Order: sequence, then structure tokens, then C-alpha cells
Amino acid sequence: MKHILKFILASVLLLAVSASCQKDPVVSDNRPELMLMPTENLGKTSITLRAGVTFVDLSSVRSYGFILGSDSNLETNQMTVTVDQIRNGVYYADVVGLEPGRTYFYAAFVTNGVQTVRSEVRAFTTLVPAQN
Amino acid sequence: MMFRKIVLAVALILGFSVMASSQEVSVKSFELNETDMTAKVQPVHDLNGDACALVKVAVASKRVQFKGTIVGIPEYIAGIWYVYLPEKTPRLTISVDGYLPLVYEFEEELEGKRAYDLVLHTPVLHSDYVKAMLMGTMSLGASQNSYGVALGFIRRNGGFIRLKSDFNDMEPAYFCDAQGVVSGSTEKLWFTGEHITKRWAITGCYVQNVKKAFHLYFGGGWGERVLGWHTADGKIAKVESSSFKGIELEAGMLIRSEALAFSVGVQSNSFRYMEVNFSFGIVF
Repeated sequence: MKHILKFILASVLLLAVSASCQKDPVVSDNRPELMLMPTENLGKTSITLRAGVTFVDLSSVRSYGFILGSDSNLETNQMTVTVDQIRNGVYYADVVGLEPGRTYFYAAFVTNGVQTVRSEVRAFTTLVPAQN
Repeated sequence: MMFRKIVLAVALILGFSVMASSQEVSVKSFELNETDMTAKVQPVHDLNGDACALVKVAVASKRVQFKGTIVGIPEYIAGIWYVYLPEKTPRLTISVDGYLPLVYEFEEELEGKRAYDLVLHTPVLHSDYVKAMLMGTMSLGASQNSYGVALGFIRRNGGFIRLKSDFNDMEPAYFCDAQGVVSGSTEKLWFTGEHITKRWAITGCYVQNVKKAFHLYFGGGWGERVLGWHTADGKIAKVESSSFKGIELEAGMLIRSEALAFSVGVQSNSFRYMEVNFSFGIVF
């Protein structure tokens, strides 16, 4: 009986020790950081949008670009502009076909095919045509 | 340091309560039996060749030890212990298992070749009553803790049901491996670096008395343990390699006194997730 008891106690202790060794895998913050940069070439129907991005893991990126919309939540009349090139962590997109004198909202985005991360939302207003 | 103090305090409380839980045997009657000729017909002699007195001890237990000036080995015959003592022996110490030893001073001088009847009263042991047991449980895992209650009954043996949880809940939007890759694809998720866990279990255990206050318990049930990582888009990804749902098994030891109970053991979900359970509570 004493041997059985010792065996059980030893087993319990062994399991307790093994339990304390199996730690969960650690997750790190690998989010891309997006930062909108000042726009360029604001015209009546076009604009150049610019954004800076810092990737922790560039290989996970599938596409990036800008989302435009006519409301601050970018839900109405949404338009997506995908960018092909990125240089020194900065990418830009020439957006055309806009209406003069209208306010648009936009944000930079990056996606890995499953998730999409957005920057803050900003606004711009296209120029109004000169009156004759 | 604090933990050691708590363990010491628990050990002291249990020790005192175990000591306090022992009960006493009392003498119901002691008298000369004039009609019993056993000591005269089959006399037993001491070292001096003098005939001994026979004390017939009636006690409801076979697990009895006698100490004193005893001649020969006491015999248990038909529910009565036959103990031979030299005449004029002043006292006899009787130890009944589960009770405090009784030192009995004979009221009259023992005479050789005479038989005496000593009837003992053994009160019902507290361990013979079915009692309820309520314990609080703290479970320590390698990466998370959970808390619960165990409610059961105990006599000599017993049983309890344990419910525990870490009081978290989550609805995973993604499922991934330990590297953060979405299950069934090659896409790697983005995370905030924060995690959340979810743990619940219900188990039923059988408690087996081993010796006095010491018990072993073992049992099984059903439960779940989930590790979730917060994703960059405000959702949760379930880490499948660290998440388990299925059979719970647990085993450990339990020390029970009259009013308190303490247990320590291990619990596993599907033999893949392990926790150490500490429980402390009351018996009432």
C-alpha cells in the first residue's frame, strides 16, 4: 500500500512539474503601421495621395493602397485604389476622375489577404473651376 | 515568501483540527463476574507462578491494542477480548483504533483466578457521519489561472463535483497555428501582441480514504481551454495548437479534518493541457 501511495504521489508531482513547463506560445505585435502623408497635386478632378508604412513582416503583405469615400466612415461611394510600388516605405497613388469642388474622405490600407488594416481617415476637397 | 506563510498557516490549521477530531473511549461498566470460572478452570500464571486475573473487555472493534503488565497475548473470542493480568495490577491501557488511548485504573484490586467484565463504550466516530464538503479551488496553469468551487460529500470515502472557469469568453474570427498562420492556408495574420484565454471545466471525483485524514481522489469530466490572440483588425484568432476541448481527468490528494479540507492535485484536458489544483474549504 505504501509503495502504491508513493507511486501515486510521485506521478502527481511529475505531472505538476510538467504542467508548469508547458507555456503558451508568445504572440508579438507584428501590425503594419500606416501614416498618411501630405497630399500632392490637388486639382479639380485629381489628387496624389501618399502614405508611409512600416512592415514588421513584409512577406505577409498581399496588397496596399487607398480607400476613398464620400463619408468619414468610407462606406458611401467607396472606391479602392491599389498601388503596385513602394519605395523607402512610402507609396503613392494618383487618383483621377473626381468631381470638382467636392469633399472626399480617404485612408491608406494594407492587407495580407485575410485582414485589412487602415490608417486614420482624412479629407480633401477638389478645386472649384474658375468662373468665367 | 507570502506563499510559504500561507502554506504554513494551512498546515497548522489542519494539524490542530486533525488532533482535535480524535474521540475518547469511555468505560460503561467494570465488575467482578462471580459465575465466570474461565480463570479458575484454565488458569494462566505470571512469572512468579501466581494465577492471573482475567479481564474480559467488550469493545466493538477488533483493532485494539492493550498495554500494561499483560501476561500472554490477548485473544479476541466472540466479540470479547481476553486479557490476563497479574493480580493487583493497578491499570490497563487500551488503544482502540480511531480513538484516544484509555488508561483505566481498576476500581477494585484484581484477584487471581477471578474473571472481570470490562464493557467499553465507543462513541460513533465523526468519520461515520456523511458530511457535506465545500471547497474553493485555484488552478494554476503554466500560462493562466482559473478559479472554481468543489461541492461534495464525505464519510470515510466520498465524492465531489468541481466547476471552474477563468470567467473569460471569446468568439474567434480566425483560427491559426502557433506561428500565426491561418489554418488551411499560408496567410499569416497580424496581431496586436495581446492574448486572451478561456477556460472552463466540470469534473466529478471519487474520494478514497487511505489512512486517517489522508485521502486520494480521481475523476473525470468535460471542459475546454482556448488561447486567443488579438488581431490587428480588432478580432480574435484561436490558436489551435494551444486550444483543447474534450475529456478532463484529474487526480490528487485530500487531507480532511473534522471541519476543514485541503486538496492538491493535477488536472488535464485531453492529456494536452495541464493544471495544478489547490482547494481549501470546509466540512459541515
